[in-house]
Amino acid sequence: MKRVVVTGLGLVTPLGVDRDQSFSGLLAGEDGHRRVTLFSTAGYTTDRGGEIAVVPEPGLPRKHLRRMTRADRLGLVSAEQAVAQSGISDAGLAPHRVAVVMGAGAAGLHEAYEFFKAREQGGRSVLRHHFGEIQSSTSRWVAFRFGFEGPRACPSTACSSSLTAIGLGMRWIRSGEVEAAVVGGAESLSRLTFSGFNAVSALGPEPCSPFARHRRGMSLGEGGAALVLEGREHALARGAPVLAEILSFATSADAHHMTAPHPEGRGAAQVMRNCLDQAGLSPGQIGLVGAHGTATPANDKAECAALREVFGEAATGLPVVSHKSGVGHCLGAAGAVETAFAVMALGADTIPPNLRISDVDPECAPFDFPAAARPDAGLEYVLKESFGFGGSNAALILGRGDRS
Amino acid sequence: MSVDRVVVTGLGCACASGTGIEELRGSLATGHSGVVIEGEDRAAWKLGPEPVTFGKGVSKMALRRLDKTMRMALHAARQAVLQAGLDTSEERHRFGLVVGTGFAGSGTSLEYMRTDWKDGPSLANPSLFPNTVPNGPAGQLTIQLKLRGPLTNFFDAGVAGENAVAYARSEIVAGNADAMVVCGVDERSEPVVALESVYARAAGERHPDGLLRPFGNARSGATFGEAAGVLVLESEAHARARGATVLAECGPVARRAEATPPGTRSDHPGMLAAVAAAALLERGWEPADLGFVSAAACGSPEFDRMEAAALRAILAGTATMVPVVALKGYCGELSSSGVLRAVMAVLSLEEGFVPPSARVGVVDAELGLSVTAGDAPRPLARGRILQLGAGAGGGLTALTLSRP
Repeated sequence: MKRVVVTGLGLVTPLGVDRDQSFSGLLAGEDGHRRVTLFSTAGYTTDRGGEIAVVPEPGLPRKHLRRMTRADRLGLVSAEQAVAQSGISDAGLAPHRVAVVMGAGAAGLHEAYEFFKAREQGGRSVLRHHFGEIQSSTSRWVAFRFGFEGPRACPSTACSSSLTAIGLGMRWIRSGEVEAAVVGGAESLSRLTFSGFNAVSALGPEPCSPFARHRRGMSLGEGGAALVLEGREHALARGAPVLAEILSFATSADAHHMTAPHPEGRGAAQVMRNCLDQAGLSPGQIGLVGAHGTATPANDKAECAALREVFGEAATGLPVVSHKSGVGHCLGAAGAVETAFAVMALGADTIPPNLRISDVDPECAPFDFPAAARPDAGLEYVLKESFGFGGSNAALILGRGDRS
Repeated sequence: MSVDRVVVTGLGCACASGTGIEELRGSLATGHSGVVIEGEDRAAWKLGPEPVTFGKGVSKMALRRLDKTMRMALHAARQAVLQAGLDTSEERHRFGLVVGTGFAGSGTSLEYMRTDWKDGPSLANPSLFPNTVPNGPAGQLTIQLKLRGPLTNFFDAGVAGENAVAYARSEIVAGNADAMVVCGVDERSEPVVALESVYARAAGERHPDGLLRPFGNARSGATFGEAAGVLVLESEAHARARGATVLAECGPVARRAEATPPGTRSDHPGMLAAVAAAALLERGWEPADLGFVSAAACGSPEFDRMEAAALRAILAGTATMVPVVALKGYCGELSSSGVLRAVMAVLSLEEGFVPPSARVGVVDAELGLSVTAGDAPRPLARGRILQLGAGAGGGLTALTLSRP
């Protein structure tokens, strides 16, 4: 089977405007949550969120920039970083051999909220953004920026959207449909999601504490993350940096409830197991789990139940991290942001820390939740998982880039 | 396990020209479009009967949580699963689901946002929030139909349906699922209606009567409809082993996407022709082998001209021989039309006819194609159909359907 590797990474997160700044912030245990200024938070449970202070400008003329949503910018800037690192746009590939798959959950709804509100209240409502392509516009801007004419898709499965985007890109390369793909996702904070999670009582009053006994809910974040994927042989032949390998990908349905996870994590266990089977790995070979870890009481409990079921004896002491404690829940971008961190963790052979984890919930036993960065971790394989509204589960397994 | 052939074993629909398969079959046989235009009120492009009647088999408790797209999707999916004879009474992790949509969640999103800005955060309606996500129908279908296999959702302007078909095929071919329910669903929600006229103005289209006349000489623009279409796709081996009736074979989806910014219309006949050629090559077909081409024509003056140019290039010497059918007159323009049009194509294979294009008016002779029109079908000379897909998002697709 054709092997697929990561040759470029881009990140814009509340911890930094590029991958290195974001990752060093993550390892240092910095907290990207701050007071949200993008809109008024009066009346909500919290005023904290992983807001990005200054969104960098992508390299397109002003006439295009003014038509981009905040999420589009986050996605495009991260794609620019990833493409630059991989050099894929100068690899001599025909334009239709490079796909673009950027997932999104509520991307663009920040602008949509303001547009429809102004329109209804008789204010100035200029339609600058392309609401007919509201979630899929990020993919399109990336394709336009680099002239990639391969297939394009926008998986939108709420919080597992961008993990699915990565998996799709991997499969399209594996099947030979394309040779390379820019994959990832972008999401901006928005009134709709802030208000919605507040209304369903999922939003906690403080920055979130995944897996902690006294966790009180999620906190929202925003970000963009992109990965360049390509066939391993192609990458090696052109001397591209091989940062990691994607070994397997799976999705599943809980078929249980629109917003609550299955209490035993049934669908979650199924995707994890499918990923291990496809990769031909045993649970004991996984050195780190990049958890979904939203810090809602229900998610963390169900996720740990699924992990226990799949890992069995190997669950004891298995390192588990949720980056949502540092950057918030980036919804549609979460899977890609966290996968990018996992790729960097493999490259640095360092397990990043969980924040605010001093008091682990006994229901989240028997895992190891590192509270400080752990270098020389001997990482070989990382399991990354994301679970979305509607019981939409996705997972993938990453291996080191230097595997022969 | 690897699978070579993927077949269709079930069909379902909910559209203006048929709220069930037999009604749609009758509409195709007579060229009757149920799409209603009432004066200036383009909202009359809505589905005839209110989807509240689509709740058969769903408890009132559950039904009240389903928004319009969910009800349409569920109505169509039940028909398809029933026809396929898939036993989903036991929860089945080998049966999966994929949905393609351009507007699912848009109506509920606006409704929710309105409660937020009107009533304030403390009164925002929590019961609406789960249905704001574009993968709401996907989540509800898995719950109602107890599908626990692979699950995802595509949000792609114009080709969401084709991306869903491609995903379903990939899961079946990889051996991750025995059968996939593939649903395309879109609603003509308040935001869609509000944005439609803005887009038409931006495209320089004067579209006063809202009539959609694909390939017609008086065509003046596209109008969004609302509909659901469902296919059950299955590995041929699985279908034969359980004695299911095989309705058609579904070939791979060939696809590319224009590297143009959001808001621009497709203008690359060469790329569309290349995609069509790739789909034919996959099956080893010559253009002259085709029974008909199902066009993406939506009534937009420029888009239809572009597609006609692509078709002339593909069909070359056969241009006046191979019939071209524009099916969007039966349902309106949909981001997910690829699935519903595939349903109509399979019905045509079953009936052995080339259906008339509905609502074309007088065919534009300058296009140089043999476009069907009128109220009577032609006999189908060859049981092979090429279906093109395209839309506002810049994606271009081609898929093939054939007699088993």
